Amino acid sequence: MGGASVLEFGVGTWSMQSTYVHPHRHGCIYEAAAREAKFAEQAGFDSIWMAEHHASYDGYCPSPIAAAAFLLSSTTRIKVCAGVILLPLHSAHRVAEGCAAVDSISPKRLRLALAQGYRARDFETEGKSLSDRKSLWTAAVESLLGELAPRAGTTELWAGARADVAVKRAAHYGLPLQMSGAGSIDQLRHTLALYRSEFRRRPGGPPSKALLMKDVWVERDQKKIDWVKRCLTESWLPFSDAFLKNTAGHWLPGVDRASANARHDGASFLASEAIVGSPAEVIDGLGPYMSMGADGIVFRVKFDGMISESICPCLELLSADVLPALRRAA
Amino acid sequence: MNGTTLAVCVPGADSRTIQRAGMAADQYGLAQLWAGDPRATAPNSDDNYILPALAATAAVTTYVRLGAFLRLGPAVQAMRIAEDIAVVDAASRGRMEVGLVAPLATAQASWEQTAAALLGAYHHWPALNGEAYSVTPPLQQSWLPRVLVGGPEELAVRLGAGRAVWPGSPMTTASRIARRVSLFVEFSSGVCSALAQDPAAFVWDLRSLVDAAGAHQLIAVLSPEADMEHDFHALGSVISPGIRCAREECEQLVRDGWTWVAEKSHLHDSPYQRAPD
Repeated sequence: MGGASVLEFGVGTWSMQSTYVHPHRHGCIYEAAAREAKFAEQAGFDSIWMAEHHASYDGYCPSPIAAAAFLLSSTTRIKVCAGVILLPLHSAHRVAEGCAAVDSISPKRLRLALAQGYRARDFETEGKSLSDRKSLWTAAVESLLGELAPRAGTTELWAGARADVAVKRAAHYGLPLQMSGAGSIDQLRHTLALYRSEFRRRPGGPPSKALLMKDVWVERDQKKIDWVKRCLTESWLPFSDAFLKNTAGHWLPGVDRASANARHDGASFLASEAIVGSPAEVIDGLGPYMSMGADGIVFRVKFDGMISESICPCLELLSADVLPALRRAA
Repeated sequence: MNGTTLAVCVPGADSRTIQRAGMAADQYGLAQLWAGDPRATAPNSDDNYILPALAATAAVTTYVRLGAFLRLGPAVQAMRIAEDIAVVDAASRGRMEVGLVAPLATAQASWEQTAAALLGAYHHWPALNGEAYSVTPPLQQSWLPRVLVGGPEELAVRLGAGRAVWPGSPMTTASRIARRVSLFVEFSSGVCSALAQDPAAFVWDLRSLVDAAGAHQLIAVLSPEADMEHDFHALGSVISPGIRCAREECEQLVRDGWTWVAEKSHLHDSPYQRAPD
């Protein structure tokens, strides 16, 4: 198994979106998020994960630390994780101050997976260029691990990365790793192996830790399963462009990027990688991922269209039927 | 009678104290909690600190409005702050307000540009690629209420802001009618200490200050070391009714309220189970 001795199981990703699939007032969305976070905590999950983008029509959460502060005070034990926070778009000082505010109320419960970002618009609204993201990320990480560490307090600093060069950088700084689950299992094995080997080159320090994020849904009713799969495809549609354009360094195999249907084909492909089915089917489907040697999995169940009425039964099945089997197998 | 509402501010408080103050303000029926420092000198007053603190407070409060005194210093990322405000506004279902703390006159020109950009970000934010975007999520309220602390009247007019002033600050009649006026009153030794000697006289003096300023809101400025439980109870049961009631009933109401707070604590907890909000 991985570097840590106890497997961690989390759920994500709360992005606070009001999209064309599920238009809703943001006051209601945040209230629902608090309710779902409490449910996840009661169901026994170790962490809930959020995400960040800017100037999105759907109100995609732009302020992960503020939103995390809200969810942390809505719960009592569960870790709340910004997976990811787009570090080049926040000054290190800003991040440290936000961490200090959270630390005073909810110590040891905030985790930030620091990523470089990939979407041009996120950078353009801040007057920055995507080409500056590496230097901005590096400078901010060094500040947060250095002179600002006391202000950041007990906040866990991780890295969110996929591309080899970013994974190596994460290991170089001794950061635990949040891995996106998009990509073939061979690619994921390669990423994890690269991270572990680079991490071992650092003298001393805590052991490495890597979590894998994976689209998962647990349900016994086939009609609901079919509906969820269609929603998952729809949820990938706005983001499939990023993978088609290789901004994250990974091409989608078998997708003709020149085709008029490329976006839909890309979204379908990404959705097809999800593990969806009955508890037994999900346990089987997760088997290869569990045997990779990651220190846990973040089940991405909160995607567009999934509201409390659908998520909570899924979380119950995950908690009651799937997690015990995964822990036994580990 | 007047409609003056009561708010509270605890400059220098850490986020845990800010959250507790918010819960106490909610519990005792106060109108608003202000986080940060209107003098921009206390610790724990960085713009990037108080907005997550208010987000945490939004989770545990229901009615109290949440205000942030913002410095908007030279290194501020205005769009990030605007986004924080939008998230707190969403999380609190539209309870967010801002207090813009103006710097010294020599720095006001550039500060005003930043403040204007922040306030306008919900409608128009120019990007590097020549496009214009807006901060999202959208505000839950149709207009972000704002007050200006310090600075000249013309600056408040340009920013569409009310005024938050200290006693004795000059205010024009036009200002009082057109926009909200908030008045700071400092309770450096605590609310209960201020009331202890002669509660009726103290509250009567407060009313005079409120009337002189034409204030719509009284902001009680407390120390982070304040006795949260008793001081907030006194604010809710003595100060708040005392500044709102008819003049002829003020003295007796204040004395009754103070007796309730100070001497009748055995009656404060009802034996009936409190209905959930």
